[in-house]
Amino acid sequence: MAIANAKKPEPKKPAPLANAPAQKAPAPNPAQGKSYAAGVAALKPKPPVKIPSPTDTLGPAVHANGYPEPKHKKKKKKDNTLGPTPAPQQNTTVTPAPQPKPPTAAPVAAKPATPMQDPAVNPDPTNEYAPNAAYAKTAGVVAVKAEGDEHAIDPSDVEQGALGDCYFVAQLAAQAKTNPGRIQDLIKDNGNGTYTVTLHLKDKAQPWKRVPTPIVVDSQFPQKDGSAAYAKPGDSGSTGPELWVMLIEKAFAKYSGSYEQIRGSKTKDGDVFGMMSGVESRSFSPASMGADKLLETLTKALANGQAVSFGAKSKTSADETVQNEAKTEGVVLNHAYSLLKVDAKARTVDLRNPWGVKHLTAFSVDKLIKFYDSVDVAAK
Amino acid sequence: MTGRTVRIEETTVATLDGWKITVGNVMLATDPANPNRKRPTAVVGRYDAAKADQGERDVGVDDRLDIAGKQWRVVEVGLGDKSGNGFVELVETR
Repeated sequence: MAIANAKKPEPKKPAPLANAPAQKAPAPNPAQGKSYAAGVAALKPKPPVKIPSPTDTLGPAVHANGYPEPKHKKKKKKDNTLGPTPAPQQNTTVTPAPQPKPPTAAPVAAKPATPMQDPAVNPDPTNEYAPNAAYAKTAGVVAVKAEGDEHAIDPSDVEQGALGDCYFVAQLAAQAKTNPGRIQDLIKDNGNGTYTVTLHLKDKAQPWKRVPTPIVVDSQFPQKDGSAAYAKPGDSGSTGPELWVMLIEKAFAKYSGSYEQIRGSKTKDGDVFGMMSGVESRSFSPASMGADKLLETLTKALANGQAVSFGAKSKTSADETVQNEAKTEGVVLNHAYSLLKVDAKARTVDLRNPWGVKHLTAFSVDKLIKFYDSVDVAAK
Repeated sequence: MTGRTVRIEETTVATLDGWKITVGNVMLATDPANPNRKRPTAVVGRYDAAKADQGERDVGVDDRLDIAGKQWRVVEVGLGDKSGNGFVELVETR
């Protein structure tokens, strides 16, 4: 049977035999017995041959015109993240066809290839201000969508603790606002109490490049006086609190050697946006552009889904007058904030303090220029 | 329990008996007891277990704070180095 609009030329069908009798069973003659009945059965029309569809995996696909189709190659899932392809993710949608599995012996746990892959290797939990912090287990889940959350990964999940890594947690919160999926993709639950966090870290030989670096951590976190010492657990779920902030903080501390080493004054990599995307973020001073241009830049960034964070002035860059005014305005100097919202009409912004309290709402763009000396905009 | 000490770095958050204690804006400010003198001060925020604001205080050495029903005294306010953070050290008095 010809296919309408087929591109291939139709194969020549064998010409029907002239005067071939129709395939029709002769009328049974009871007088002829079993051999006749068997003969009649042999003449019964056979059931039609099933032509496999192209999606069948048991054999080559076959077109309705009878020609076999070359075996389709599986489509590789497109990697939408910037930079090199990250480690395999948990929630892949490509499912191979089930194959019968031969019986196997109990699997032997593979020895981790490097310390970064070994969940038993933990960064030193102490820091100068929490010298007695010690590890304790916190059972939980990666993320929980609580009431009020736009997504399971939400800026409100971020609460800094007794570690001077405001630059780190503020950028996590800013990213959670504009692109929570990017954070979700960083963390894989290994299903055995460990998690693989893939951060794009500076290549030691070529520090201008970022390399996806899987870091395996468990769910033990530094505690002090019975509670998490550093980044806090987020929303509570049915199976425990959400841990994504603590997991990412721990992974970076592990890579850096200790929690002490990721304090703002000591970190060797302050571009957390770059760590999450693989692409360096853009930094500039708010004072380098006028209020109108700054407002336009911030509005555009948020509209493009680009996370933005701010660094408040340090004490060396703010004179006594500015320091006193900052105190009155509720601006914490030497501190980092996340951009949540821009109101271009009112010429104000909403800034989130990574403490989880003391945010700056409807903060004028003129004050932004006065009290902040850096803006970081994540790559798209 | 008395006698506990805690040192809190500027721009960070400590947890004391379930309360969040924040420290920011460590700087030299006029001593309210002596307008001719400056002393190191810090803005200390207190938030209870439900994150309700229990009042922010601008404190210097010997000032007292109520935290979760206990009293703490400021024993030191460190300005920190030029580029780094300062700190506040508290000791529990009762």
